[in-house]
Amino acid sequence: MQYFLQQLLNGVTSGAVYASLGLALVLIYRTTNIANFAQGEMATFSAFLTWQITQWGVPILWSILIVMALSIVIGAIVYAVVVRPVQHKDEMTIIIVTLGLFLAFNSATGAIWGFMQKSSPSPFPAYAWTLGPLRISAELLSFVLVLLAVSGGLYLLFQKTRLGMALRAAASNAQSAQLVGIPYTKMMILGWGMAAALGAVSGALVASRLTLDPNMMADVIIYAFASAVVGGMSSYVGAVVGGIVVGVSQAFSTAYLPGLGADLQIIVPLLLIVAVLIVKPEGLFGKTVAARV
Amino acid sequence: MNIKHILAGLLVAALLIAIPLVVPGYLTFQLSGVMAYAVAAIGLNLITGYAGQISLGHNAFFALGAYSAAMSMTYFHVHYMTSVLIAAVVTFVVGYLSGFPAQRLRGLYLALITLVLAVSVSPVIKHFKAVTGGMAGLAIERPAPPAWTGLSKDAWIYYTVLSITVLCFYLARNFVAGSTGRALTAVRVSPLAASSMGVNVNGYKVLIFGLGSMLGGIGGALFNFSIGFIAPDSFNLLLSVSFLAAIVVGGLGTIWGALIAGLFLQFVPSYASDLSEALSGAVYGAILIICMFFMPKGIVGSLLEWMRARNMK
Repeated sequence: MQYFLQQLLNGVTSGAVYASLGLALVLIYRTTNIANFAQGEMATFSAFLTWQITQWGVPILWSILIVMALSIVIGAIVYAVVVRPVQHKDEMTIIIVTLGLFLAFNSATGAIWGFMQKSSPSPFPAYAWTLGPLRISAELLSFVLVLLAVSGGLYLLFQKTRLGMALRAAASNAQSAQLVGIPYTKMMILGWGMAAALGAVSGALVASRLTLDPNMMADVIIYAFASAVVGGMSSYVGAVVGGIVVGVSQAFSTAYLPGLGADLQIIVPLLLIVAVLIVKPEGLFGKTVAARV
Repeated sequence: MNIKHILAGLLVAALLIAIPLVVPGYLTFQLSGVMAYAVAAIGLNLITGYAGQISLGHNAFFALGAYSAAMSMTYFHVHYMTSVLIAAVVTFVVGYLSGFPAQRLRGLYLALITLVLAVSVSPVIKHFKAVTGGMAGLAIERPAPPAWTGLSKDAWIYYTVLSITVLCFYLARNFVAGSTGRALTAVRVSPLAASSMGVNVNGYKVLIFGLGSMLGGIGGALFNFSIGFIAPDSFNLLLSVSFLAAIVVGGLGTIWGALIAGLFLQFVPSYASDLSEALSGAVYGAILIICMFFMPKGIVGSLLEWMRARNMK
């Protein structure tokens, strides 16, 4: 039982990481109807940028905030220059373009900072409480707090502010939104910028757990996509729940299915995605969309 | 088919046969690689270009073909031509079966599932290291020329690969040139219209997944001949994205685009890494984006359009 609970907590910790990147994916999918395959690599780029700024002597928390602001600019530029011209083309074109971005960001990170692993200072205290037989690390609490803050912030923004309403309007019906005076392109740019800032947060979380490495997001992005898909791809709550589900199932499969070994861990999110898509393609929290034919 | 076409065909055939006799051995070796990639590229082009099913998992079938051929040669000592056949059968069956879940998914979701497939290839190979050789890879005996030919090993492999490649191109061209090709186009452009015209949309999607995967597998088996060694790291996600980049550059939905894709896959990585090791990915990325912006039909597609426009005048 104690082992079980400890694995559950481990799962929640990784789940918080997947959920934060999953939220970024959902944000972009909701605003521009695009699945951004480059989201993970953009997050890696931000994580390296954070490392660079800490190397210049800035404290880690400040570096993360600075990079979040910079990431908004990066996301905005990526949207305006690369994505916007193809936004209304067919799905295949868009997927190919974001894959191109994936490669470009991955190799830009490698070219600038090299492929050697780097250790990044963690913004979270290395402290742990023992609660009976359980060990609760400050990392776990901070990850969960970050995730709650991020999702709470998104909720307030989208549900309680005029800006959030404008964003939702632009996403759900571009033409009508423009007719009531919402600057459509600006809203899209803002959506991509915010997603990139969310990505920077998840990049910082990953970097604080593991070492910095240009390919550190290769698996995380797949788990994040799994979270988003489990949650229905367009639901913020779904992405958070999905992230926890993916993280916990990954922790349990490591703990209770040792036959899989370290190599086959990736099979678990694969099975989750396949199962959800085949049984309930709209996800756990998605709405069934009727298409006009 | 007039006399001009026949003459041109004979000229091309003579040229293809003469190549290993006149060019240096290393280039012959590289050209065998080009053809192996080209065969696999036709497969992806059938799935993605003709049927419109985006697949990021082509490396999986390339690897499956390469490994089933290599393992049947290593453990059962089959003839190298038989190993190609085995690779074709195995990848067709697996591809056909994976076509069933794939037919239910469109665009994004299919891309996601095949993405997971793409990244799980190398872990799976590493996991079963008892039979696959794991990280250390598997060495394959490259086909040796019979003594009477007096050919070098590279030239013999070139001719072997060439004959299978010509066969694959011929069959694929015939496959898409007739009513099947039109049915596939209908499935891609408008599944609803296709099914109301009596085209079995799901049947075609599954079949094309099987055939495309099979060509990917044959390409993998031919890749064995030309390299003589396989290891899990040759079959990573980058290979899949490169396949996609290559057929986009060559021309989606064109058989001959696959030939350009083969040249692209063989030569661009080595030139790109000459420029900068780290930036080779950026080169691919830039090519993908630029192609989609300015030449969405690829080299062959744009050429065909230009020729058609000229004929109209």
